[in-house]
Amino acid sequence: MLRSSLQSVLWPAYLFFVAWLFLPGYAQLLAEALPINDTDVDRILLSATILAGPLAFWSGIRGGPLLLSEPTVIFDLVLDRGPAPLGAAIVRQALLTSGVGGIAGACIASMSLDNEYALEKIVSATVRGLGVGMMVVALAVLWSTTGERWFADRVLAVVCSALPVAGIALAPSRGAVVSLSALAAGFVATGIAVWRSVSIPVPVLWTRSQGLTDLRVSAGLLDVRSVLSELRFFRDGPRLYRRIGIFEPQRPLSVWRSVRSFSSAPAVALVRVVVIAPLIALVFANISGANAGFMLGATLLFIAGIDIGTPLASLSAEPRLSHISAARWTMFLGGHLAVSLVAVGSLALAGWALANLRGTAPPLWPWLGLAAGVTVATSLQARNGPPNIEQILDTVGFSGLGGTLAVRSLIPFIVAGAAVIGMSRWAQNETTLIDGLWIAGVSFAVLAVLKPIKVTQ
Amino acid sequence: MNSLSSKVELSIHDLTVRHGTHLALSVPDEMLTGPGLVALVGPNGAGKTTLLQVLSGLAVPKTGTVTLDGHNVQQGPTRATIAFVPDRPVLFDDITLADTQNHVVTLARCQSPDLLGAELWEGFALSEVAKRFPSQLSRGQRQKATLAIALSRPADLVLLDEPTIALDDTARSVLVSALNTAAQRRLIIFATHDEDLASTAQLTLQLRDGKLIDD
Repeated sequence: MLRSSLQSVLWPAYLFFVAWLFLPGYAQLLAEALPINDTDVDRILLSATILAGPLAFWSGIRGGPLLLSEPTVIFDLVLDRGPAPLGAAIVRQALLTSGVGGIAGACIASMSLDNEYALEKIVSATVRGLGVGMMVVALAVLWSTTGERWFADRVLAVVCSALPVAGIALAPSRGAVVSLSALAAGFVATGIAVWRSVSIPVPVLWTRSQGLTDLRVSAGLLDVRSVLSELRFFRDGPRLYRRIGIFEPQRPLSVWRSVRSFSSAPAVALVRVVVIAPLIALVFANISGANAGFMLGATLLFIAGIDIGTPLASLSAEPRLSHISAARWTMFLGGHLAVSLVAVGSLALAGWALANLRGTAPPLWPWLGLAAGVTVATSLQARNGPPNIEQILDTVGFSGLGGTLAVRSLIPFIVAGAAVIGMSRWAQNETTLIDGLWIAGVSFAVLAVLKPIKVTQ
Repeated sequence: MNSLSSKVELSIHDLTVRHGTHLALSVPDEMLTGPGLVALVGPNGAGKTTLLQVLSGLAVPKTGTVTLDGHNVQQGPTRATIAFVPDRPVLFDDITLADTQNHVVTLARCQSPDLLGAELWEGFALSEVAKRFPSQLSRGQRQKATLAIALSRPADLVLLDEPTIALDDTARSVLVSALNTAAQRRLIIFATHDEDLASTAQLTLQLRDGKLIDD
């Protein structure tokens, strides 16, 4: 048990560290095509910090981030042991989002061309991202409509959302104050969410856990149609539990049903797209100085992302990929490669097209190289799965644990780097024998990825 | 509420469950007393799983109440005295069977697994695969493990949804024997299409189109 716990703690921690170390480097590559300066970086971080409150509200009233597995409900929650079981799930999800926020902050800060590698700024942006990411999950739980909630939850959610904004108002020129405010708000909100989690009714979580199981089965079979249908289940939710957050929960069901049918009416969807999205876009275009059309597109993507993102995020919260059968692995890798290639390739092409529009277009090949490299890297990482800490400890002992994890984590990034360098030099007609070896290495890695993983029995 | 009662009273009052506009379940009034073994039979879609989930406190009825010894099953402490085992394996992916059983027993604040769970664990020979993860087991082995682990904690009311699904003949015999023994101390209700299993029950409830009907 202890080793299992150690594994579940170390795996995300080491993933965060590795990503934090390497991804800003790729972000700097992106910055060559989309040059931004310190002012732009500040605007982006400011917008993200302010946006965290509404984002959490939006996520919360659509059901919140709490998607637990069936055994967690059947074995843990039904025993009525206070906030610990559910609190652990909230903390885990908050830490996951926090890590993503921290890495995003570091990437954005590293993209500024004013000061190529200012560690202080990157650390500050990381801290702010950690806080904002953590806060979003915790506040979404407080805003969640899934139960008999205490009115003060809403008040506390508003107070926590206001904390980083107060930091901005009090010390607009000092990033450290805002970052620390965001981190404080993240911790406070998470603590409150854990404390208040006892009021979330178990039947809601059971219904959602069953939906999550169905979603996983469909995703494992690459049944896209069923996946979309089940994602709609999470978006629409079990009717009984989807109450409008800030109102008192004890209102008669008939009233709630009216509210529910109103909120799902086509007219409301139209208002959301035609009125609410443009308003948000205008506000943020004004704050960030970005093009209003671009912000409108981003807002619409944001709305769509919230709709489908929550259940997907929960899927990634419990990635137990190390114990999947060989057949499932082959299917998984096939789907994973295809999805990664399309997603990263689209991003790369979009980046190249944007850069082209701005008249700073680099050759297309490095972008495609980056796409291929990242695809291979993510596939390798997925193939490796979470490290089996128990097995590593038995093999190399505690002293060798750190080194083994470091080597495991470096392999995908070396492959990705090799792909970028090789493709870039090839595009410039400067290929040498070394470049050929790089490309051969990448090819070998691709073959290694496609080889079914050995399953120990 | 954690200790086992010698007598169990499960009371259903004016229960209705709707799935959208469809009336999935309608049970006006029913009283079941234990200890004993009760079979719930009926065709697919009759409402057996829905009824078990409502009885376990894991689903909320549209109207009506279910009480166990006078306490609403929707209340946390009462729900904690009910064990519900679904018709598909439900196990943590990332820990071994032994660790999962240990986790359930520890969380229930018990020194050792409950007799029913222990008997199933031994009868299903799960010690041989105790250090394996669920993905390293067959569907039948996972179902056995789910039954043995979920029933490792004490419960006044045991609810089983299709417990013999995916079990071989030997495992089925072990299950029937263990249920018969356990039914002397608690109320056990199981939904099944297995006529042989149903015949071992002291009482059989027939469910059709969401309604309990007389035999």
